[in-house]
Amino acid sequence: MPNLTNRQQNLLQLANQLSQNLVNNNTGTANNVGLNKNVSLDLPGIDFDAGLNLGLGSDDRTGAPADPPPTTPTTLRDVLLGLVNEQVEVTTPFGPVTGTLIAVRDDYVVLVETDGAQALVPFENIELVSEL
Amino acid sequence: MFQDTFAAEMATRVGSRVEVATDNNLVEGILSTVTTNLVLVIEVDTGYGDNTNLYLSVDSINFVRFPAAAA
Repeated sequence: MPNLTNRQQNLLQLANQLSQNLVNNNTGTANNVGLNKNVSLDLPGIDFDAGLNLGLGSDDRTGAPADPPPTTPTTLRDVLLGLVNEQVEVTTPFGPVTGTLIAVRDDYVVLVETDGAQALVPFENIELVSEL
Repeated sequence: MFQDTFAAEMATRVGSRVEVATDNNLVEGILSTVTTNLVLVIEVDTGYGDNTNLYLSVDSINFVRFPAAAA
């Protein structure tokens, strides 16, 4: 190593030892747990670049899948179950029934109208449901 | 609080004043009998005439309204 002072040679030797340790650490792990090391050293006349990245999480590729998209109702009953305790209008061939949806059972729903009357509406005759 | 099926819930309310809507009719009266397929409503005549028995198919009912009891 010509043209290097003793101090530069010592520093270069230390840098080599350090980089060797980093390589050993990175290759010694069986699985990637997110620990990456990079170190940056500036030496006179010598460029040695590395980086330090401490990722505390596990590898994204092996983690849990992303959150599923919001589920959309597939049946009229599913829609009604999502509207319990809401003001709704349920339309039948005879006409609309408006009130607070208080219960959804196997084949009918229960609404409480503004005057306190309870209305039972079977699913099979519901044409339209809208949230008010 | 409520029965699982429409007919079973109706059966718990026999004797109540009721309004029953079908596609083309609105019947008001006293809920008298409920079976799996049939509902009997007695239409109350305020005069001196006979009361009218109205039989409705459960499948034809659009909705049933139970008015709030008067205070």
